[in-house]
Amino acid sequence: MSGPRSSFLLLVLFSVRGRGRRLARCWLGLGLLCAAGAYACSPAQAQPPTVKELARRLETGDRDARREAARELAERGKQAREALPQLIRGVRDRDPQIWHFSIMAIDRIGEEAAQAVDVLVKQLSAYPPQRRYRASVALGHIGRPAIAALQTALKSRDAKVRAAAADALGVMESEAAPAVDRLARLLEDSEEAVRLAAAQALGKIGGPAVNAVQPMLVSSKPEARAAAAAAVGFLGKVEPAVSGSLAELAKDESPLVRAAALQALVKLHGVSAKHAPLFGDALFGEDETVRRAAFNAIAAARDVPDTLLATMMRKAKTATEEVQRDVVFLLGRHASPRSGAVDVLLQLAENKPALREPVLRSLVRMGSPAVPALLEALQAHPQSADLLVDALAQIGGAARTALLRAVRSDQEAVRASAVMALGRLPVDSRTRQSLIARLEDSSGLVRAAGVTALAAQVSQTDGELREMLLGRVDDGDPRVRSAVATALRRLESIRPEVRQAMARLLADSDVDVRRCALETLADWPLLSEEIVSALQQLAQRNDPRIAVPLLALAVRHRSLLSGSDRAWRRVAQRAARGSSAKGRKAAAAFWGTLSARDQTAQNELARLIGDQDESVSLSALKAIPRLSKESNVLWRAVTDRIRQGSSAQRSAAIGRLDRLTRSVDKRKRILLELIGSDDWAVRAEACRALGEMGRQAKDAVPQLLELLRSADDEQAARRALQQIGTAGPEAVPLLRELLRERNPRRRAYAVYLLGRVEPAPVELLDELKKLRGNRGDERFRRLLESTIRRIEQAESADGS
Amino acid sequence: MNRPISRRTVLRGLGAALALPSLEAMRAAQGAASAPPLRMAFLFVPNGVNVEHWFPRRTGFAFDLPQTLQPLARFQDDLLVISGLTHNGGRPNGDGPGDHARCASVFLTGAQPRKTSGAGIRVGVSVDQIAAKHKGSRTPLPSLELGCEPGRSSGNCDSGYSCAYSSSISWATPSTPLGKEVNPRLVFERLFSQGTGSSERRQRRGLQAEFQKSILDFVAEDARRLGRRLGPADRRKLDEYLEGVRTVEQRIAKLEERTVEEQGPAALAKPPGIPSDYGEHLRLMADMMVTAFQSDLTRIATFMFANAGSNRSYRMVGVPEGHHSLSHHGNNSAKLAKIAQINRFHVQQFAYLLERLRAIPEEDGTLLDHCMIVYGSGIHDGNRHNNENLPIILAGRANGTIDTGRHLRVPRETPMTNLFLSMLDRFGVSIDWMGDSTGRLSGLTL
Repeated sequence: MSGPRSSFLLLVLFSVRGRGRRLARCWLGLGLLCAAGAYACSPAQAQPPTVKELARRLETGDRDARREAARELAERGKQAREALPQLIRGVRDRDPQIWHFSIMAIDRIGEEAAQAVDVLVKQLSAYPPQRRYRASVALGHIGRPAIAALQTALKSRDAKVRAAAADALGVMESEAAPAVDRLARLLEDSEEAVRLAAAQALGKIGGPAVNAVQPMLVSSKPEARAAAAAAVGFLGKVEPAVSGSLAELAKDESPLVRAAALQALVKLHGVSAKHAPLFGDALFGEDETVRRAAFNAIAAARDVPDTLLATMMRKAKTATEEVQRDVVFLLGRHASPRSGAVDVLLQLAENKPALREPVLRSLVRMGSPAVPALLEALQAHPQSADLLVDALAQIGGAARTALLRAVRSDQEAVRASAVMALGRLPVDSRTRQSLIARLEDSSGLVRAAGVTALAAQVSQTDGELREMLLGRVDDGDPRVRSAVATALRRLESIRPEVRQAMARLLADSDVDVRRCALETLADWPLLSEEIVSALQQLAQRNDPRIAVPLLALAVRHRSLLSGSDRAWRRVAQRAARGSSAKGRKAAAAFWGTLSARDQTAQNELARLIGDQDESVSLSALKAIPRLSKESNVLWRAVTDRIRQGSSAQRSAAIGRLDRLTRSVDKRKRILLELIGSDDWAVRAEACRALGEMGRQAKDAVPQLLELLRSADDEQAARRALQQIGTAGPEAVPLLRELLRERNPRRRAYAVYLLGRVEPAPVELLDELKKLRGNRGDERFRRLLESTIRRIEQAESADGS
Repeated sequence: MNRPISRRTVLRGLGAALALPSLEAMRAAQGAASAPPLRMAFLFVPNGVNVEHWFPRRTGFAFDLPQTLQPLARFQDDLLVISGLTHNGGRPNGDGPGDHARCASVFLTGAQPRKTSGAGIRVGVSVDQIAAKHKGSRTPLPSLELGCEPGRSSGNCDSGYSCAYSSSISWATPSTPLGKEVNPRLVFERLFSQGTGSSERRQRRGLQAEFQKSILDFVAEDARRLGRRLGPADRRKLDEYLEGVRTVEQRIAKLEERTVEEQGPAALAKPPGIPSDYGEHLRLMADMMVTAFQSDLTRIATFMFANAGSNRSYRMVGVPEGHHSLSHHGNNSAKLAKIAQINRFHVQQFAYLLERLRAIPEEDGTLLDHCMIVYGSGIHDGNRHNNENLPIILAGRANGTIDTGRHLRVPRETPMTNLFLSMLDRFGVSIDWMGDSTGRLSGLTL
């Protein structure tokens, strides 16, 4: 407590005079002393330590105090210079945090830390890499005083030191000009990292480095020429003669040199018309490094000459796919839509579907200026209509005006695509009217597009639009009726007129219309009578083309199967034997709904569990319901899968065992067998299934305890053991062994479980009590005491 | 015809206050065209990644998208994948185990946390709070801290490190972690009742519960009045925005109705209000972040997908095992495959956030164009627990000041705090250093 404060308190204390008030005075004094102590110690009042104090703490024997002092000094910036001698010693501290903060503090002192140069230069060869990095940056911030030492370090035998020294000089920028000659010599270094560091440093130094770099451009070593070219690129501004040398290097015999020269050229001049052929040749050349360098250089350029773009468009058609992808990207980034690039891109996508996505992105990248070209392309590239619609929609609002014009084109495909694209934009009243007008178009394709576009905009309360869409149910073109069937998804299914429309579409003569209607129906929560009737008729027809959505509906709406389900079964049987995996999966889901009691369904499901297609087999496994009575055929199918399936199938099959039988012993037998599997995923699933059995899986505990020893299985086994929560006497020997393990988690687990063995292992009580004296962590000691207490309680309960 | 209105116009009702998205009528009031404000967000995922499926092989433009990053294909032009960044403060540096607690606390601070599970926690000030301190007063909320896993602020969560370290990435002072909000309902209330009294809010919530009302019902009159002053484009924008708020509100209500999924005897019961559908929880929080940015309620946010060392299982993608347990994969190929599935699931949620940001038009582009969103982990490989070459993505063009669409490889040991300094510069906050920074990160612009 400070002097003035204590004097004040004493004054207050003794001003209360008189014998009768002695006790009151004592209490008052005590209270005031406590308050003053709290006030003095409150954070608001604690002054931050001075630099001098921190410097002192940096030299104490207390590691934590030294750490805090170093950390604080690192926050003080230039103010910490008073502590420089201590910080220099701190750099040599063994503790990683102390040397780290000490170097950071010196770094932030900057040019006034010249005293620290020697110790920092020594760190350039230290371990770990962070130490070298920090020291390098700090030397760079010290600046001129460090140049001499760094120039010496540039000659070190250790490549890491040379590179770090070069980095430090680069940080100094133009101040490091005296070192340019030494740095330039490092462009011929045997280590790539050193050459790169030297090139970057020379680039940051700037002007004075040019003359030092120039001779290296004609070095006999290709690595040196490449490094010199890179240095020129980092320099930025150079004389024409130097950049002329770069152009020569872009034709060098070494791919390394060509790549570096191209990258440097683009940094200096962008991609100029003069150098365009160099980039073009590189982009389509054989060497991947050079191609990549050319690609990145062109991509980074602000502008690209038309000649290069024309070359790219011409050569792209016969290039490899990898090069085509690069060209697609570059055209999207640089080409004007009027240059014919849109046609080239579409052709590439048409010839190679793998390029569709990159082409789409490039078209979108071109943005709104590309819209007229995209609309024109609808005529020349009808097979790319989908791609063009996607691009127009993604370009967004900027395309709207052009699209509104295009919906009146005399070309059907153009009108249809424009309508589709408009439907994907946020609709305003003008667009809405335009789309409504398309519902009366002479072309079915356009009317269908209009229905689809308007359906995306309709809301539940939009009666006008709903009426218009439903009015197309009787359209003569099946494409329009299919579009209406899909559009019903957006309308309220409880409306009578919507349900009637659905019933009519389900009975449509065209299979695509029926399929669309069924797919829409999958989202409806309730089915009306007329729809149920239409579905029953569809089931009777047993058309394999619509089996998948039909069966999905049957799974969702079990009411369809009440009464006679014979027609549905025939559909499912046909699908289960078909060649389509989708059909077989749908059949599996269907049979799963009936398998709880139905022998035929169980047989069918068992067949599908054994399907060659993994996804079908997994679907069938997933479909197994909880059986009311054990089924031998399903049990065999599932256990066969467990023994012979893929990892995913085996895991899924294990997860279904509890649905197939209530017999705990039957499940346990197979799960215990699986704990010994060589597949980790199967072991993990078996552990999980045993854990879910709880106490009933007590006799699995010894095997689970064995699994605790494996790092792979420890987590799964531990979880299972926690869920089982008990063990039998057969587990005791293993638990005793685990108590002697070094791994603290396993020891803790062993002592925990010993407390839960039934009956309690009273014979171990003395042995456990002896463990009290052993060193162990807090958790182990707590669990040990708890176990001892439990066993003692069990013993006294037995005794009484 | 638009009549000018103030940018800070709010729709008010009983215990409710809805800020508005940027409208043309607001820009008219501001006079000359003003650039949209820049926003920043930081998303954290735990336990590192499956390295082989994360880092692209090619650098520069048109880089290959490995399996984990495939969900980001549509946004490849809008992001930078950065490899090589390091958090030295996440390394043990003499403190032994506790990598997970360190990796979370260092993620946005760049500082080495002091090893303690009791009093005296200390790390550094996080980048979001540095930004909030300088610029946070410009918005009703200086910053927003979101999460999906509740955490504790005390106790030992990782080998002697306080739980505060594992469950916080946002630090207002070196010793003050900012708790994250994990309950979507509470986030919603915070966003849409700023500046209202607590008794009003209680009254409003009571009426909502009794009459099944939406918060929009309480501001309907104000909305109608405002609508009469707006032009057609602004009216549509306002409708879409209110529709979005309503959708979020409905989704929260739906999640609250579902029963908490039982996870088994080993797990604790979830606190009330925490959705059991993890994916939907993540997306709801993302939506609220987007709404907060859109209506300029805040320009700074953090979002922890899960706490450091989280052992959550991911049954929704077929991974019943715990994430942390799997991350100690020992090069087991089955475990690595499952980690990749978890990583991909997280990235899908990140893609969802980017999709929402990109769907909101703003002057000269979209909301995403005016953002800087950092997504990543404080650990490279969960098996090795190393803190160099961190998996980091930076999304958004930062008002055209970041050249995106590339894989940027930075020199070894480059501090991640260098990236933060560069972000702060763009945010209008210029400081000399933070954490263990050594300068700005070069390569963000060409």
